[in-house]
Amino acid sequence: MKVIEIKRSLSLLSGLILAATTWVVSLELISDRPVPNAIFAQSIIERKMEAAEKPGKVLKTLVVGGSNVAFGIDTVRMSRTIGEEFVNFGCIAGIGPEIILSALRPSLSEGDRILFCWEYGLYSFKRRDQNITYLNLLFGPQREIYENYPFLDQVVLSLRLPFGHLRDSLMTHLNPYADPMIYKCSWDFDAGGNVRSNAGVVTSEEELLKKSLDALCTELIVSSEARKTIMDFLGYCRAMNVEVLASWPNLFAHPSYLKNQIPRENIQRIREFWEDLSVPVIGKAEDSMLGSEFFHDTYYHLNTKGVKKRTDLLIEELKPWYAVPGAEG
Amino acid sequence: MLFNEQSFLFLFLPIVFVGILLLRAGSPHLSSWWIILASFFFYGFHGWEHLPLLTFSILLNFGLGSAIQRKVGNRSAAHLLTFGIVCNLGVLAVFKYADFLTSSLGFEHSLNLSLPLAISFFTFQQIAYLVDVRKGKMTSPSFTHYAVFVSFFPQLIAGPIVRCQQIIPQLREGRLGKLSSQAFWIGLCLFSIGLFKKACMADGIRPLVEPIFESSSTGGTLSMVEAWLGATAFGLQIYFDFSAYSDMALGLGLLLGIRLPFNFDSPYKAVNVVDFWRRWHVTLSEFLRDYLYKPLGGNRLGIKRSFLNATLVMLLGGLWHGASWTFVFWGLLHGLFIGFNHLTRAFAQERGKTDGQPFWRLSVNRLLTFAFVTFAWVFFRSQDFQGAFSMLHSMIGLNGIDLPRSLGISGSNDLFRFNGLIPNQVTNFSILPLFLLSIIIVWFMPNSLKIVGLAKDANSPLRVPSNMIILLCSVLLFWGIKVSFEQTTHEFLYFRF
Repeated sequence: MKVIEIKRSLSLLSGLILAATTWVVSLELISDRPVPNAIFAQSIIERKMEAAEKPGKVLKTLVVGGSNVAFGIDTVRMSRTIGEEFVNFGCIAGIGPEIILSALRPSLSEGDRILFCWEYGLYSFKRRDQNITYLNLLFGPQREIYENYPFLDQVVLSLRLPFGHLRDSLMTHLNPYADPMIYKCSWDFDAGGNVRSNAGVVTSEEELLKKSLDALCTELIVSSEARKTIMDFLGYCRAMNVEVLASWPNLFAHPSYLKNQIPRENIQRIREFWEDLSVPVIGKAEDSMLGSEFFHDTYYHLNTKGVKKRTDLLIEELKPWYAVPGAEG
Repeated sequence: MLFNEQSFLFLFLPIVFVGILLLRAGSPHLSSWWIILASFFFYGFHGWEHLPLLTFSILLNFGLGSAIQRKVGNRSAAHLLTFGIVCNLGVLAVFKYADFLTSSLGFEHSLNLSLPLAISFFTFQQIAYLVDVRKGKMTSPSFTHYAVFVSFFPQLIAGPIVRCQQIIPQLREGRLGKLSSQAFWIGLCLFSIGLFKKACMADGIRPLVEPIFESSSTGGTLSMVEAWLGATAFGLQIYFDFSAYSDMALGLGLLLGIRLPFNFDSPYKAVNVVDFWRRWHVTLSEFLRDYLYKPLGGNRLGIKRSFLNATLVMLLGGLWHGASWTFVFWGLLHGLFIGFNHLTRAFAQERGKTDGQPFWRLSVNRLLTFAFVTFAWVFFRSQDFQGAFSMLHSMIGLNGIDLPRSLGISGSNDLFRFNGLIPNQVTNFSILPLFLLSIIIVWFMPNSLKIVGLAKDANSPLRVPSNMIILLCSVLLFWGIKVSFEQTTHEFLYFRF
């Protein structure tokens, strides 16, 4: 190759390296300046962690999942009925199992219990396919998780992060008229971590019937990343003497789930997944599928009536595991 | 599969590129078939159901071209040409305009045919081919060369509209797959600039455009500044989007050894509408000029006829863009202004005022032309006339004029409101810096051809850009690739035509 061609190739390479370095350095510089989306999501996680901090040596059960738990289970009612402390640790399913479980770890004490009610989509979690909230958190308050990822994942995720993240971060923190903390979640949480307000637009049955849940209606394969994350967490729980149980997410009972084979197979796959990991599965998925009158704004979020029904069902299913008067097991 | 998608950048393009280099070493004929195969795959990827139409169109026109060639000078050649034009326009009419026509005439039935991708482009290209063969400007090529000429994937979907004289001689010279250092570096630089323009500029400005037009079409009342912002932002979006495609097409062509004609020459620096069309979608303008305007008499039959011809041609040009009355009206507006330009020029010539204009006057003309083009874009972008007129109402202040709050000394009245220049919640403020940068680029920066040093004349020698330009382009390449990872790639606007 001629010298001149080598020089041109070096110019090409230098430009690519220069641009990549600029991007990496920019992300580093704004890592402590989260974008509004990340401020919002992180504040929910923090509120859940606050709710899980119980004074003294009170044993507790943390009900863990995404918004189906946040807007679906009343842990105050559970505590009152069962007589033990329950905490609603329902965050946002879109942020993925790694962030949820990482936030959960510091909240655990020896002898605690965990009840997973995971959304179906969480089982097929893949880092590189995640949504913007996940990315905003990784390149903001959850940067530690990102830094522990394999190098290739780090590269792909940093490329996948939209340029708008940088722009939003700068605009948010350079704006002299608004404190970035105004983007914190202003939902009304109670002491059990339950959300007492849901401002979403009420969904009609017609809307709910329009679309079934893709995660359940297409063949569900538990991703290697989700499996590894859960297995690591279970190892941690064993070391902490924390008992883990699994249940199902509340979901609108779309007729296609019961008619078709694929949803049934997916449910069986999830059951087998937990059983293989020696995690007992409580109740049936079909029992957590409710009619449209129990839903508020999506096929996962229950209204007040739905929360009561779902919570009562869960209490019944849990009775054998707790020393509830009159319960078997 | 778009030029800015990972599947194209990291899979399709490298395979095609390596494939053609390897095959060309064996036989140039094989490289032609390789490109045909790749182009058909590329086209089929967007909808396999339309591949038979493309194949049929190529076979039919190649057959007709060969037949016309054999009978050049003979009357039957004219009949064959007429038959060819009717067939091509007939197919276009059925797929693109049938439903528009029936609904315009008030019929309830519609064919509901899906629009084959790029049908307007390959139809026009082949009509031009038949006309040129009939005129004896071109001898009928071999089938492989003809199929490459029509289906060449860099320009198949959204142009430039190439003429056989521009491509076939290059194929005959065996340039396909013959890689020179000059072509490689210019091609790579152009492709990088195009990728950046599409991914970062056109798609970056999109979130500013959509909410404003959406608001206007759903009955929202925009302030004057908002409406101008939306219309200008769309003008910038479509410019960056389409010129990006053209840059990428030229770049890909050069990487594969073929030099395609340029399609853009800083159109927003135009000083009048005629000038604008010499710079915007140049190959379409040339097609309309050579195959429609001139046969209609052009400007040889007096000023009135010239005015009428320009209006008619641009009206059809509007219709070419889409089967909708808003496109027709957009074309009509441009036609009227081109006609008006002809009138003023004739008037100036009569008075002997043909000297160059001072800088300030050029600047004013440039600004006025930009304002007119922006105004006309509203019809191009709006879904219907209701949305377009609502937007125009705001642009000319008929919905009242919103002014800064600090000026509101005596409160608001019917004409003036003091709620701020951008009172609604539909404008994405975080994109305003990009908007301003875009304005600076289109008005004051050299265009991509000038940056890489590619002359407009297709026969001029190629010169490798400087190392600094290569470095700059590779920075742009990184950003273009980076955005392709963001999963927010949008189709090119001209894919719809």
